[in-house]
Amino acid sequence: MPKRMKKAGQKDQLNRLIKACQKQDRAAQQELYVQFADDLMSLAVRYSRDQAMARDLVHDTFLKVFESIKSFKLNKGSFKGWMSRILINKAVENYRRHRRMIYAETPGLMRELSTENLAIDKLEVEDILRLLQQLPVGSRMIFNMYIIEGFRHDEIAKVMGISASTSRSQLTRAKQLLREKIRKQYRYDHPNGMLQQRS
Amino acid sequence: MMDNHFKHKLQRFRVDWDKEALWEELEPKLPRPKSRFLRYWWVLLPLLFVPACWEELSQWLQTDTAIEQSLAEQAPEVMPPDNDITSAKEEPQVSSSQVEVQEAVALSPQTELFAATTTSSYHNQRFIPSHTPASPTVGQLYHQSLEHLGNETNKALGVVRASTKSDVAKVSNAIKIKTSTNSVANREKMTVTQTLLLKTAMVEREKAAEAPLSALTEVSMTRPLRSDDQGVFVNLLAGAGTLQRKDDFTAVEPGIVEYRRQNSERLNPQAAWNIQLEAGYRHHSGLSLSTGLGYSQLHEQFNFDGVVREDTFIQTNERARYFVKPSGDTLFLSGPGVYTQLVNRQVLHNNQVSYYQIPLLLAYRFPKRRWDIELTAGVNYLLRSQYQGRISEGFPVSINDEPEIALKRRWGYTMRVGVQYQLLPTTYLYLNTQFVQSPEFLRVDVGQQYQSLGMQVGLQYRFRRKL
Repeated sequence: MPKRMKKAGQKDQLNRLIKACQKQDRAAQQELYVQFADDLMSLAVRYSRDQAMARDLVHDTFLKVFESIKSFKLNKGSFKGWMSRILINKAVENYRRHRRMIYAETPGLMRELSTENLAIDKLEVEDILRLLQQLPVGSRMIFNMYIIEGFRHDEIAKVMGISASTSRSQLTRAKQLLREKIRKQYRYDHPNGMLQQRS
Repeated sequence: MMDNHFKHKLQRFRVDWDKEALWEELEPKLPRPKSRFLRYWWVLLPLLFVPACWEELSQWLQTDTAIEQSLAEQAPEVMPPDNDITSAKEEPQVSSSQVEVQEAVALSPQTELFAATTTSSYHNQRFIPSHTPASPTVGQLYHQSLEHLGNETNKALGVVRASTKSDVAKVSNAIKIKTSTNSVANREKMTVTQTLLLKTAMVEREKAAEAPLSALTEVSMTRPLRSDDQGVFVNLLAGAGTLQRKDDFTAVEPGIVEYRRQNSERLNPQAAWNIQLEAGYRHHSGLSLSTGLGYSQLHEQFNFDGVVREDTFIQTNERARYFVKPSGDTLFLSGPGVYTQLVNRQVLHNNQVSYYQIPLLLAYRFPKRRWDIELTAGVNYLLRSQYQGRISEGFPVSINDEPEIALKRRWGYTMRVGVQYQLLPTTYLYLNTQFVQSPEFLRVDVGQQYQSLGMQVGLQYRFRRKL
């Protein structure tokens, strides 16, 4: 079967599933959950401090999805994108709820760090996640939205309720922090080409 | 390089987790499907009303001209000369008591008896005797009719009292016309009954002529039925009013109710306005059912003024220094120590909820001389809604498919007390006080329902029956 036809068939099947979910069909809801739970969990992990928090985020997102699925307009946009948007909104809401937490910002970090060969390409996904989870919540969200999801700064500004310039500066800051953390926590072993975590 | 590497790695990353356990936790919390009956209960409303006035509506649509044409074709065959009611004028008058002892006359339940219309602008009144196994007497029929029609009959008789003998001739003509359209089997029985009723009406008229002025005054207090008291009407209304909002936090997670409540308190309802076009049918009993299309706009103001962020800076240098923050702002730290900077934000935004709705209204009219009082109650079914504005300091909302903005319940309701004043023969000024409850919206888990109390002004056009 040609790839295009297969894709169209999958889309029809998804549309049927969404329509059934709009009528609160429990079997369809379960099927939709099984189909998208892993994707949402992978997304949630990037926006959360740990897996338990990510699980809560997925839980809240699915509740919201099944409540609001009636307002989703078929053929208007990607359903996965719509669900991701709900998850990100939930994550932003959680961040906003705790936004008044005090976090230290040392003036030293405001200077541009010198770039060095950190062998970033040797980092494994678990290392990346660990590094991301060490970032301040706001910076982590902006980094995720811009780098991974492909949001523009004006879109991030709209979702986060900040200005586009703040979003840009927070992204720069997140990158600086990541480089700093990689430099501090990992060392590059030239002989075997492996990246090792410092003790 | 870092960006691409991170993106590549993270997009392909799959977490190993127990998703079945989460589904088991999730499933009991999902909304249960509503039964189809509950979803379409409102269909019952017109289903009850439409059959009740279907026959009347079909008569309303049929013109008298058509009936007269029918008479011209049928009358020579079906109307024997002795059935001509005008001959009743020469017979000795019969009192009401005499009427009651007349011979029994059987009528089928479907039989329609038309009487007591005096001028061409008045509608025929329907006398529908209740079905009884034994044949009732004419007197019983008359009283049953009175019971059935109540005040309407009194009005009709009141009209007869004030009429002349030439009006009686018109009545008899109307009866002839209607009789000619009935079956031959019922015709003779009906004619006898009609004659007796007409005679009763004449006696009433003559009694009224002798009656003191107070009795006549009583009659004139109730205005005669107008030709537009039943039939099709169209309303065009525009109104404005105050706005209140009712928030429901039951769907909000317990931990963040206070946070949501704070955000809701920042949304101050301002005003509401609406415009509505309605068309309906009014039954002769005064009840009417109408539907149409309405557009409403609700305005509220989001007013935020508060701290959105606290940053703590640690100054380790011995001397005061200026720093340039990544955002471009400068920061002055006067010496060694810990500094806290509060970031304040002020947001003032006018929000707007707009929606289209289909109203389904049931009304009852109390007719007066030149004006009518109308009580209306009904439901509104939301077709489409849009929200523009801010619901928190962080979520500017301008798109309709925003997942945080959803519709919880499509139904709202309306109650009105109104006055209709006749401006032109078929056009009325319509003023009313209206209470509207909007459908329920869900904004970031908070159920929000708006209530508006205000005035509506508009015009009502009543289609007259062609004569």
